[in-house]
Amino acid sequence: MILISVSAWAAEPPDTSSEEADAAFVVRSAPSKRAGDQVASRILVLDEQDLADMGAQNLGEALDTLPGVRVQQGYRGAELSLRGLDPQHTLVLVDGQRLSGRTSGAVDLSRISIQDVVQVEVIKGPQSALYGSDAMGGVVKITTRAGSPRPRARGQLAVASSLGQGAPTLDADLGASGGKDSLSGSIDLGLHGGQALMDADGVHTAQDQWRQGDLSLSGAWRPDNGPQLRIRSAYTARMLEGVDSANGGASLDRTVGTETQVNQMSLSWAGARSLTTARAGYSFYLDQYLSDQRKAADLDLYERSREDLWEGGVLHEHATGLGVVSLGADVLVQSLQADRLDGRGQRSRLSPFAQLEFRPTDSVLLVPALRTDLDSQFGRNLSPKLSALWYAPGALQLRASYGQGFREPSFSEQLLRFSNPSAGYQVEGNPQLGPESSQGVDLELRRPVGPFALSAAGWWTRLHDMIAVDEGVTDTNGTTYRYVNVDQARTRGVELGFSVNDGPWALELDYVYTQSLDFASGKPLVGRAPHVGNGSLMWSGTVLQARTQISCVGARPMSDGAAGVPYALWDAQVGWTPGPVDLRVGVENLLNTQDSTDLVALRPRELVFTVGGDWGGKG
Amino acid sequence: MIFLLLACLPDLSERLEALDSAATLDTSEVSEGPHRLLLDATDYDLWVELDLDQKQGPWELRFQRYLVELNPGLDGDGASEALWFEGADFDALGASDVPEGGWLVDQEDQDGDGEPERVFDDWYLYESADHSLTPLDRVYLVRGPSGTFKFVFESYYSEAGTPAKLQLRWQQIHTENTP
Repeated sequence: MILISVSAWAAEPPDTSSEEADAAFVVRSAPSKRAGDQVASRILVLDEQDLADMGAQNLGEALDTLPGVRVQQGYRGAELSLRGLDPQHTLVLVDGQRLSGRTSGAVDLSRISIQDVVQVEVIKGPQSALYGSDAMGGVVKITTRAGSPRPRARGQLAVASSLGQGAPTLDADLGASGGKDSLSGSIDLGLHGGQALMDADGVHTAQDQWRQGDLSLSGAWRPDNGPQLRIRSAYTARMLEGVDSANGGASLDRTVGTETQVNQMSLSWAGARSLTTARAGYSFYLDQYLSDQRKAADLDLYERSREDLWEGGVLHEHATGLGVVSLGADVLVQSLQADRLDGRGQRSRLSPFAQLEFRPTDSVLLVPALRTDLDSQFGRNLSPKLSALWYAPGALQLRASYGQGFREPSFSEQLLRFSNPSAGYQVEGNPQLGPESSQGVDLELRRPVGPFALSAAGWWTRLHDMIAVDEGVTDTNGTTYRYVNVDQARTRGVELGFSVNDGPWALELDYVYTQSLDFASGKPLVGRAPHVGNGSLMWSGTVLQARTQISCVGARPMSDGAAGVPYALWDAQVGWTPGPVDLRVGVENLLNTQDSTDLVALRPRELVFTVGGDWGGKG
Repeated sequence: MIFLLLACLPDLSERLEALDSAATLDTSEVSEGPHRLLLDATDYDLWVELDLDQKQGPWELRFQRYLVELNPGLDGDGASEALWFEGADFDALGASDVPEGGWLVDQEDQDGDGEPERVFDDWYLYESADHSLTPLDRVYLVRGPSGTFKFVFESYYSEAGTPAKLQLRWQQIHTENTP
């Protein structure tokens, strides 16, 4: 289940002998492998079983149920945000590697096949002391499947139908793994698709038609002694098609094609009291955007962009008399070529970091960390963090941390040259932009009492030099907007959690209050709901399971000054797992909540049938 | 392990070209009676001049995107002037409705914004929410060397929705430039 609190950095060297250690490319010590009472940072964890129990069809759907995690379905996919900040303020790592290809600052989580994921960790608050740029609101760490020598085959077919509103959506996945002696490998294939949902006018689309294909191959060499080698290569292609309307009555057939290619390699070797991991990776992201005006060619638009990302890193963890010392360095080289850009974006970065965990007393754990990012464009950036855990009397656990985060401007923000003739405006990049930065404080109290657990957390984040478009200059060419470092903002809030795990029953309730302020306008940040609540109830028998969950999102300020309509999303499902076969029936969006002001792509009520099998994966 | 090096998706720009070759293009048309024209003022730098009597003579109006200017003439010759009636019926407006006074011409910048003061500065309603332009319910009278014309903006957009492809309608109501 969801481990609220938990994680990071144990007092002993990491254990790489467990089954979970098959997960590939885990760097920074896979916190969730450690005992929950030995960590100083608060982390939310979903493992493979959690994801299966949720019956989620995609990663965004699963993460949206976590407290303080907001996932919105935008027109370019599922966008995740933390701490009331924007999607570009959350760093997404897949097997320790940055996910390339942000669109308008956001990473589309739909690009990651949920069947390929064995673990997700969400660390909230500024985390640049360990992870560098973009980790202002937090970090999402995704771990994908890797093979083991034991033969295993998996398959799943999910069909979701909105009963009368278009054709059903299909998700099909197949996977196999196996090996001999110290060699193992795995292959996973996925095909996904769904029909468009039309607007009320019957011409334009409320949601795109999509097609997606995934292929991933991984291999490992794990001799009983000595270094262990892992390697993975994955490819995803995705096509979205929709019909947009523009002012003046134009209809535009829009097609977006994206391709992601990820190649990774890691080598790790363990000493008596240490573990060293080296990794290297290369990924590229291709994006084609086509907008074709009906009955004319004036507004036709075709843009292509390609992002290349090379990454490498070394991490050495050593248990000393003082505590566990972690030393490491990351290297990054990134480039972007795009029709929209005035030139080619290119930057490189070298980032050494260090962390120490030590216990001044048996009941206190202190974890200071520091990272320096030396960037070819922006020079040096220092990011400190200090975390502490105190075992107070009465089984009370108190965690506190202070951290700093930063985000370097994207190439688009620096070099964009975009004109929208149908709307009569242009947006220009600004090569003089500097990084955004944040400071954050987190406090958490947690008290387990038998099957119950109570938690209360408070957080405060201050943002500096936020990048925003200026007020624009209007001339005969229309209005020209430019990116500038101007905005200061603050977000703060409270999270309350309550859970019960009693026999087959599990209940989780949480409530998050978020308050935000844009100092420039004196108003709350747009789109942030002050009140959000989640609840889930699950019953797990030997072969039968039932689960229901609900998310309630309160009114929120919108850009036009109005308040977004509150809404609730309610899902329910039952599952039957006789042996290796898994059958599930569920209803998503039971209340059939319709599009609200900012719910761009909320799907209507759908009946979901899932049949799957996993041979060799259990026991 | 052999790394994948796939790039499977087709080049979408080829798809665009294929569709465009079959697309119906907008055309300009002049008919008997009131003239109707789809005027292409999409260029951000060029002015498109319009001779309302459609003969070889000086132009009365010129257009660039949403900007419209009257011909200032050369040393006073060939100048155009205009006025308008709010909510008037285009078809009902006749020669007897043409006033003697009240005619306006474009002037040099008066308010220091670097732009001339144009008679046609506010022929539209601008909706900031979606940046759309809608013509006001006005019938303009334009008077130049070729005569006097009643003139309306029917749309800032073509039927396909392209902005700055103005749908215009006008008709000559006097062959002389004075009633």
